[in-house]
Amino acid sequence: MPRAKLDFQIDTIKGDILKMTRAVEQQIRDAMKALEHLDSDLARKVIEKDDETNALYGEIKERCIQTIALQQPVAKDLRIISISMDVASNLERIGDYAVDIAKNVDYILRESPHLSEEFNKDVLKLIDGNGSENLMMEMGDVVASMVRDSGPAFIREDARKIEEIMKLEDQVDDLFRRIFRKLEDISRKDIEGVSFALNLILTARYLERAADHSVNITKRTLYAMRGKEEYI
Amino acid sequence: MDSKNKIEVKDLNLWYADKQALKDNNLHIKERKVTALIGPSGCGKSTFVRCINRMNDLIDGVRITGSILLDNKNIYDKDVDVVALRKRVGMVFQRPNPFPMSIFDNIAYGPRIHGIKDKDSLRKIVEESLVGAALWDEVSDRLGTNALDLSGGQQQRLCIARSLAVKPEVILFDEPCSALDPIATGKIEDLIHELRKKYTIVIVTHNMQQAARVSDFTGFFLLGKLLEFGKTRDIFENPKKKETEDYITGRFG
Repeated sequence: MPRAKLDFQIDTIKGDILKMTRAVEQQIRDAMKALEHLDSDLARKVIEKDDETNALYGEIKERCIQTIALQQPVAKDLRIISISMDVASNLERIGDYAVDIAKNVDYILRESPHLSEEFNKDVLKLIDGNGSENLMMEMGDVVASMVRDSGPAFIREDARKIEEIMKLEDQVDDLFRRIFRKLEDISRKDIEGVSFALNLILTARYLERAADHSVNITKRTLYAMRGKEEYI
Repeated sequence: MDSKNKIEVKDLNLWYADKQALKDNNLHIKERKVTALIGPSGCGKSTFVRCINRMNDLIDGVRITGSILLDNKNIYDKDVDVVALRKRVGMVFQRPNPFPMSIFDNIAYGPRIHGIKDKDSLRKIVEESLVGAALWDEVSDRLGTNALDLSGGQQQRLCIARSLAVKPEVILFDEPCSALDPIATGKIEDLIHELRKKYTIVIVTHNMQQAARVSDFTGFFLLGKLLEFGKTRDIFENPKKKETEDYITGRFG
């Protein structure tokens, strides 16, 4: 069977992509949880976890290059392997955004005691999962689910999942705009809290970027499936 | 991309006695481009390429229908001079087959047959042909030595030089590198890349990476039929037919 080695390499790469997807999804969920509970320990774990994600990215890239060099894949095999590198690179960036979100948790902990009670109440309502206006947590949840589905959609070439992920991007953009307006209002009321609000806007921005990277994965998946670029 | 069609194959069928080896093949070969033909053993690619200079005429029991137009003239028409055709359409085979004579005489053989006797003219043709085949620098000081003393790779380039000597328009390569080591193969591939500036090239190869490296267009044969034909890039990146994909990715063949 002349393809045994090539098939083994492709299966291993796919398995690693799934593993990396799960790890990065967990990073996003943990970063949001750390933000919600202002849990400094969990935030640190998210940051530390990034070394593992980066190492996995390195392994996938290395295996892809090795497979191209030694097995000389063509056609769909080549697309799957080269796009695995793109997928892994996008996942790695999502992991970085989880780290950025986690780093903000310490800042919030440091700054929040100095701010007015009313400001803190408003902001905490925005990020507290139990509050009525838990926009940030809602956004985190949507993005985590996009990330969760992106890797398997690539591996299984699941056109329906791809469509679902693409649709969720609009929801993420909408949530970002609403959070932006909310923080704008809050910071108008309390000028002391502007830099704090800006940091939370950044958090929302990181989530929005993570969603973009999930969509990138789906676009690359369509290329792997069809062999032509999709401009969506 | 938009060069003219040098060769147009129309509804080509070929039988070896009762066995049909080529089935309803249609194909356009562009001028001054490299066209590679790939496919599993016995798929008809060598038979096909041999039709282009009527090499199959020499085999008993061969029957051919359809037409092959070279510059719009059917090479199977009754009035076609096969010797003149083979001067226009040269061929390089799988195993280097130099004549057991000097390097010089190997190259001069064809031009002499076609009536060139003048020594200066022959010397010029020999030099030009060896330069064209990227062999001149290696043999210019020993043109009188026996061609069989050359290495396999050099012998193959000598055969290419021999085909260039009669100033062909098309060169057919039938597995030209299968008996050569990677260095010699690399030299032949570089040479094909150079030759495409002046000649129309058709190459049959079992080595798919070679087809991908050297050709502009690729045709995939299966069971006597040209199943898919297109730009080499498209065939190797995104073939349309499942059989092509299965073959080039090693799923069968």
